[in-house]
Amino acid sequence: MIKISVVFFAGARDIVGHSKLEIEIADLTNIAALREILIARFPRLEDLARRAAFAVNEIFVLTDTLLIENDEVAFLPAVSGG
Amino acid sequence: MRIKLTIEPIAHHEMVENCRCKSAGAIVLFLGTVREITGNEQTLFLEYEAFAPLAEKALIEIAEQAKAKWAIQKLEIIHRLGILQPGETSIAVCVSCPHRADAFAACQQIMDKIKEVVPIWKKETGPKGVSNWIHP
Repeated sequence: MIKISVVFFAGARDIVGHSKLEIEIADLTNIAALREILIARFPRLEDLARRAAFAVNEIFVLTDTLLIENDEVAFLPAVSGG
Repeated sequence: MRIKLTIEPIAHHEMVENCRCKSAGAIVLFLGTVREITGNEQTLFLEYEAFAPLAEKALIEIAEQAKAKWAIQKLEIIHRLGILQPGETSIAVCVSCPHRADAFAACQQIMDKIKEVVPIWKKETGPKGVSNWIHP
């Protein structure tokens, strides 16, 4: 198992109830699998999660990116700046 | 080039003067402002938040892409965060180019990309105090 953190913003943070979660996941978990773990734990997150972008350690990543110990994942729901 | 996120009101006059230069024949300034009425819904105020480190990086990348495509002389992008009242400026993009077609096109593309990828979010609060994060 590895330990990572996930940071949440805007509507996703309201659903999760925290701006940051520390979680343990299996080795070789990728972003797509993490998304399913988060949806299972927070079912109301599903709509945002399906359309979210992700960053790891402040760099945008694709969903096949593998996570490693101490990564900080940013869960980025659809943006509305401007 | 200046890229900034700020909780202070945006001084757009200063941005225009910063973009003025002898090699430019055109300065285009875009201001995004808080609209009070959308459809039948009234907005009392908006609150903007950002994942600041990544938002700044994304803005720089958008600016660099625009500079590679058009003959941009000077460029400033400032996005406001925090609580904004109707009529206030939430974003300002100012670009100067030798000719106006490039300045208009660059400003348009920069704004389109900002709305698509930069991790900034707004929450609308209506007259009954109901708030909603906007995730289009």
